[in-house]
Amino acid sequence: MTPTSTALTESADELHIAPPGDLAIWFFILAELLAFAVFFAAYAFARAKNPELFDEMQRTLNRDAGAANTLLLITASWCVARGVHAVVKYNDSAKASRWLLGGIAGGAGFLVIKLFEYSHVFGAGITLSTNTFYMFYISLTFFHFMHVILGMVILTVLWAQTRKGLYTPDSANGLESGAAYWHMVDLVWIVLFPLVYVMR
Amino acid sequence: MSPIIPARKIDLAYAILVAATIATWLIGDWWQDHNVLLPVMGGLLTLTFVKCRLVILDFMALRPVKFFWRGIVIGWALLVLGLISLAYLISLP
Repeated sequence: MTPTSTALTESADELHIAPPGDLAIWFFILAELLAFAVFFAAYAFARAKNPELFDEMQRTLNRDAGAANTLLLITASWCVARGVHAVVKYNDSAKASRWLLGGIAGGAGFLVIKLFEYSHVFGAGITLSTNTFYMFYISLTFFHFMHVILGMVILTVLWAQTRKGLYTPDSANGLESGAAYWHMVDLVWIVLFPLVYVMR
Repeated sequence: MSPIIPARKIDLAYAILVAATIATWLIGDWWQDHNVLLPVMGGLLTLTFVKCRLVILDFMALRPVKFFWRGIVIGWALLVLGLISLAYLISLP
C-alpha cells in the first residue's frame, strides 16, 4: 500500500467516527432533543391524568393542518438532505442552492399554516390558562415554532453561502451542521404530530 | 470527508415518510369514530418510530457513522415513544 492510499484509507475510517458537521452542533441537538423529550413526557403523563379532557380538546384542533405541516417539514428536510448531497457528492453549488431554496419554501409554508392555526385558536379566546390541554398545546407547539424560525434563518444563511460556492466536499462542515439542526426540527415534529393531533 | 448517503436512499426515505404521514393522517380521521385503543396506538407508535429512524439514518446521515451516535439519537426516539406508551397504558380505563 502506498503512503497516499494509506492516507486515503485512514481518512475513510475517520468518516465513520464522527457525525456530519461540527461536533458542537450535535451536543446542541442532543440538548434540544432532551428538552423536547421532557416536554413530550410531561404532555403524555398530564394526558394520562385526564384523557377525557385531552380527547375532547383534541377534536377542536385542525388535524388536516397538522398533517399538511408534517408533509411540508418532511419535504423541506428532504430538500435539505439533497442539497447537502449535491455539495458533498458532486460539488454542485448551483444545484444545492436550488434544493436549499426548496427547504426554505417548505419551512415558510409550515410557518404560514401554523400562524393560521394560532389565529384561529387565539381568535376563539383560548389562552395558556384555558385548560391543561391548551397550556401544553400552545407552549409545546410555540416552542417548536421558534425552532422552525431559527431553522429558517440558518437555512437562509446556508442558501446564501452555497450560492457563493463557499461549501465544497472537503469543506462542508457549516452546511452539514445547519442541515443537522433542521432535521432535528423535523424529527421533533414527527413525534409531536401523532402525540398532540392523533393519539386518543 | 463527509458521510454520504446515496441519493436514491434519500428519495426512498422521503417516499416512505410521505406514505407514513398520510397513513398517520388517515388513522387520525378513522380513530375519531372508533373505540379501538391498543392496536391503533401500537400501529401509530410503530409508524412514528419508522419515520424517526428514516430521518435519523438517511436525512441526518447517521447511517454510515459510528453506532454510538446513531444509538444516542435512535435511543432518544425509543425513550420518548416508550414514555408515551407507558403514559397511554396508565390512561386506559
